[in-house]
Amino acid sequence: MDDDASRNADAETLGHFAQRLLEQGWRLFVEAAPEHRGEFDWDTALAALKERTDAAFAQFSEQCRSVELPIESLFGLYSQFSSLAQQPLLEPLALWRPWLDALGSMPALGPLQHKQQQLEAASRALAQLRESQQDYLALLREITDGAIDELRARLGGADGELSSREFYELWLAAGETAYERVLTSERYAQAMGRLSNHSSHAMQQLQGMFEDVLGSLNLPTRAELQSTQKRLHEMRRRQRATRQESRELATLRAELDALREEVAALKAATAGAEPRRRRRSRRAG
Amino acid sequence: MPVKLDRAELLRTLQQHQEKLSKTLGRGRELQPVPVAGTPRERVFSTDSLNLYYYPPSDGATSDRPPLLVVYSLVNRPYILDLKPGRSLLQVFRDAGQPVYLVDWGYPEAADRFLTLDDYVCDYLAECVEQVLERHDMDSLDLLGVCQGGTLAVCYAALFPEQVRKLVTLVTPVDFHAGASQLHHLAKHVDFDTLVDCRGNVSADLLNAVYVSLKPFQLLSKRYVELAELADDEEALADFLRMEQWMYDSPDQAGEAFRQFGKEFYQNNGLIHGEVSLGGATVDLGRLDMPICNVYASADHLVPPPSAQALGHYCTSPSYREIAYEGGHLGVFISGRAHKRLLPEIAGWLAEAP
Repeated sequence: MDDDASRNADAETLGHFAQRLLEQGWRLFVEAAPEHRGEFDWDTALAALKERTDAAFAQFSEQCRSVELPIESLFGLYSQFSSLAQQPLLEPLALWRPWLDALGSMPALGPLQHKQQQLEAASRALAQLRESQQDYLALLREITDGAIDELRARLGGADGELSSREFYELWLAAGETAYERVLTSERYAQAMGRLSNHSSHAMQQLQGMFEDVLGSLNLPTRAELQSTQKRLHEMRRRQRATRQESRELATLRAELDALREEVAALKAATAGAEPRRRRRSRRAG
Repeated sequence: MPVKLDRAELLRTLQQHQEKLSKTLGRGRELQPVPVAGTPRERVFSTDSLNLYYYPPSDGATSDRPPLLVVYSLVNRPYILDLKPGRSLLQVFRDAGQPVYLVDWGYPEAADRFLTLDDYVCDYLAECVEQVLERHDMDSLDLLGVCQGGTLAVCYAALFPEQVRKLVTLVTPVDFHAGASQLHHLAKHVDFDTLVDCRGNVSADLLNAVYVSLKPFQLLSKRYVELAELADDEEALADFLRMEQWMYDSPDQAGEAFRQFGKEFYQNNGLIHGEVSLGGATVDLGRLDMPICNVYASADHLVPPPSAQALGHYCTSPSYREIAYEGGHLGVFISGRAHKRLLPEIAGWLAEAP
């Protein structure tokens, strides 16, 4: 198959995919809705849609709660690295198991108390992140419910036969209205803020842990890289300042040269004029 | 509910839509990459990621008019100002007989993480101004800033008013809390310190997600459903692809500058309170005494009109002019209407004696 034919086939596949997606979405919506002489029972259809979205949200929410984030799978890796780096390699890792298992329920003591605190902080950060994800999901669910109610109201206000395009526009407007209502609320701003902050905080905790591990293996760390970047930046600033000073110096030199020329010209003029003054002076005497 | 929907019509429409979409996607693939930034230009200066471009007049004529320096936002690429012939703000001003320059901030790299707004305004922009003034042997130029680039231009003009003959601001936020700004709304609870400390440069993907979250139905659904309608209109399809490319061709943001902009401008609204300090000096909007032309868009969801109009309240220019454009944020510099009336009007204003 040549390139053009291949491209056309790909585009067709994508087009079919889009159509299937639309059809599937449509089926989700109308399958449960009885139809009488071309007239849909919208209430039933919308109630079915709400039921399905509720179930989908509940499932997604549960997945978010239970899924192991990449950061968590790295905990295990961290523990192994940490143990290997700090202990003689022959020491069985199993020795540390009770300590790891008891994290969170015992005071921070002993030479590894800093590590314990790090792990506990990371664990708290993850719990906060999960909480803020759940809050945000709850808002998305509220938007979806609001959009269904909005669509119901708009259908109630419409009359006659709708084309599929008109129906799509109605759905779009209903969705936008419900979304904007929540988007502009203080609750949404707070939920977004919490999600962003908790996500940054969790990332920060992970970075701290990796920093120690990489350092103990004598590998370059983020802090070292940043320190180099900062110095590079300061050098760039100094270089620019020097360039600016050179420019100012060049301007001053040019002004000085001009002044010198002016003084020389004045001197020459004065030298030429002086004898005349003397002559005038003599005449005056 | 008395509303009827014809299942057969629906399936027919879906089938037609699929056929058109297949055709459009196939043609779209062939058209990519779409050319942008086609107006001839010369790179006259570069440092780090920044490039300064000069757009020479098409007839090769020299102009003794003051040069115009265009400053675009840090968050997107400036070729939105030069999408194609006939849809190019830069071309409009160049064809009006003014020497035109564009600051292209480039794509900040990891090593640019510590760049601050001081660096952007008092070093990079100052250096560009210096370069342009030297090339034209003049003491002042005209400055045109777009969106966040407008805010940077306002800061520059307030710090170095003697170098700015006239100032043009397009959809430029000045009062960051005015007019129910959605960006301020989303930014107000964000801990920018932790964000930048842990991420360094702020990724373009993160920012794009925020922008898309402001209009998800438009940007993720309607836009692509309507794409199918462009099957037989190649020019419109190419325009769509240009916009598509531009929307997601976003540079990462230098961490420190992002922190400063988020905290000092969006959260503390420091620009109008005289609390922004750059290069060791306070940005005092009262020093803006040059002629100013301030354009805002009536349906701007990123920079609400009162946010831009605030410039008129704080500047001291005896010759302050405000133009309201009926439309959205991007329409001010890419729409056909803007190219027909608004941009030539601004070019005319720049040509007038101050």
